[in-house]
Amino acid sequence: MNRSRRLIATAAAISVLGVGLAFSSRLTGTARAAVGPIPPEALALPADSSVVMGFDVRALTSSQFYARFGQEGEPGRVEALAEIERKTGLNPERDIDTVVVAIRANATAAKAVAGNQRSENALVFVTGRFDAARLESSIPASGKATKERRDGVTIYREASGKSNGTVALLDAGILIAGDATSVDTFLTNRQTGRGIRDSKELVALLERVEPGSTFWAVGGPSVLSRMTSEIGGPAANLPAVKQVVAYGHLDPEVGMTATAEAADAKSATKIADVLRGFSAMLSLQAGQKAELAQIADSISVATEDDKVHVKATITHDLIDSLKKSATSSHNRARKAIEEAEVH
Amino acid sequence: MTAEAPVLAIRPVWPGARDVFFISIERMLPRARSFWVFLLLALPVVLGVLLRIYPPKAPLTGFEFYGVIVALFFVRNLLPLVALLFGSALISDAVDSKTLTYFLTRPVSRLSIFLGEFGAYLVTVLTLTVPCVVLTYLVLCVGTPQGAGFGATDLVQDLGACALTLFTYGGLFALLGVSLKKPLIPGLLFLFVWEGFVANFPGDAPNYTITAYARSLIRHRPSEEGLAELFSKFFGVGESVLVLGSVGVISLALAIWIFSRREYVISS
Repeated sequence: MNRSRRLIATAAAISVLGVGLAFSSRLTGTARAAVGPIPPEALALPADSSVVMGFDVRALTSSQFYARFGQEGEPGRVEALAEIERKTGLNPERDIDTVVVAIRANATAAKAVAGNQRSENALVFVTGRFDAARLESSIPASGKATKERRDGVTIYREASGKSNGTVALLDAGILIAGDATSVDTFLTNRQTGRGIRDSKELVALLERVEPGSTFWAVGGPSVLSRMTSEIGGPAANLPAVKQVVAYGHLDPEVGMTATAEAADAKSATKIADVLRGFSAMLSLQAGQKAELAQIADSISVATEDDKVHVKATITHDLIDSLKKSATSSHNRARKAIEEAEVH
Repeated sequence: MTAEAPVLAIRPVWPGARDVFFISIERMLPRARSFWVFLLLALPVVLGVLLRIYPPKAPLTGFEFYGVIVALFFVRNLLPLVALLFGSALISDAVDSKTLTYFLTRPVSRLSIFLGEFGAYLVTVLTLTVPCVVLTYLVLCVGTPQGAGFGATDLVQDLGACALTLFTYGGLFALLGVSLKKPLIPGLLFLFVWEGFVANFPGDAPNYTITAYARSLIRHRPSEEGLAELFSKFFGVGESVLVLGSVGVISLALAIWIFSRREYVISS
């Protein structure tokens, strides 16, 4: 074999082995069982979910960000976790690993929206270490609840008649909560093997979430179009967004990446222009608050056909600076009110 | 009675091109230029190792670093330069090494000669480039929270984008090589003035550059910054492949046409 053939063979071998290694890691890793950031046990979440979001509680609570901003009154405080602690006795820092929330917006829900009722059927999937005895003692305390045992699953149903909230403890490591219909759907899916994998669109969106993200969300058109119309103001005039994939991390800086898919390239450009305009407005206010200019600089917007890519990175120091600035403004306003009351 | 000299039949195009390819690849691949180009292409691998040993404070994941390297280092800057070095010298090197004299006195058509030379160019540059891209990916992504499997599909697409970039620029610079006596300076001006600046102009100007289409093929590319963010234009994958492929094929066709008609005076 002459030199050039040896070189070509070596290069081909390196390339094939490298690509093979990349794909084998993809096949043999957790990605085979899970779909994107969804753990394998949560694949029974409904396939007709319009929005699926989640966060890695363990990564959150062990982050530098949480250590710095996670205390009472700090911007990093996640009230939902505090609420979980109050209602269930679970300590998120100690007991919870991941939280996944699936929101369904079906036809019935759409009718409810017209009547200004809360319509989403949110199903919360939590993994961690759950003390069944503590849960049992806390759930009835926060309201009347009935307990039933079905196929090895302990189900607590709200019995006061105010809502149809249900909590199911699948085992010592998995808990699901939501309205009775959603929880029942999950349990049925779990037995029949149906679930989120049945929706190719949702799977495609979830697989675009970067593994290792601390928080993430994917959404389809039905909820997103409602969101913009419900927000009102300039957002209501934004072109409809077909789908969104967003994910981010907290350390060493808070970073967020979002990709929105619009109906066409023109709509994508319009959305990008609105976002750039928002960034420009922040820059204009830099005279009053220098931090706003830094935030504006940290946001980058790019378009690609019918997609809008947004990326933002905010340092912990900048958040700290914003917090101090907000606190001093608040104190000044309070002092002014107190002085006005004295006079 | 006079004996007539036997007339050798011209070999068919593809067998002729194959023969030229095997001779040309020996001239192109195992030589000093290829070695230096390989070192240049391997720089991101070394950079990746350093980044893994000394992680920067920048909030970029390994895969994002890989995206930056493929989009900015390989596709935008280095591959066009590699194509210029090898593509523009396609025929002139054959002249210098006297292999062109050998080919032209053999029963092979000029079309076969050019196709064989271009095939050798493609195999040479891909042999140098593909392992470097794959190793860069592995060095930056293995053992990271994302894992080696993340972006495996993107890696394959990137390799395709690199191959298409090398084909298109190679065709263009081969055309430059057969048209001009000294193609290097015009080639560099084209790369760094036209491709470097016009691709980021506002309006339709980027439509007339190759790099705008090549960079559109890297779908996980990093966001542009500054003026580039405002003015950069990106095209659909299908459109980009079509334009790059068409430019490459048209350039090659023109280069073959010029090569077939040009007279080469081989000095002793």
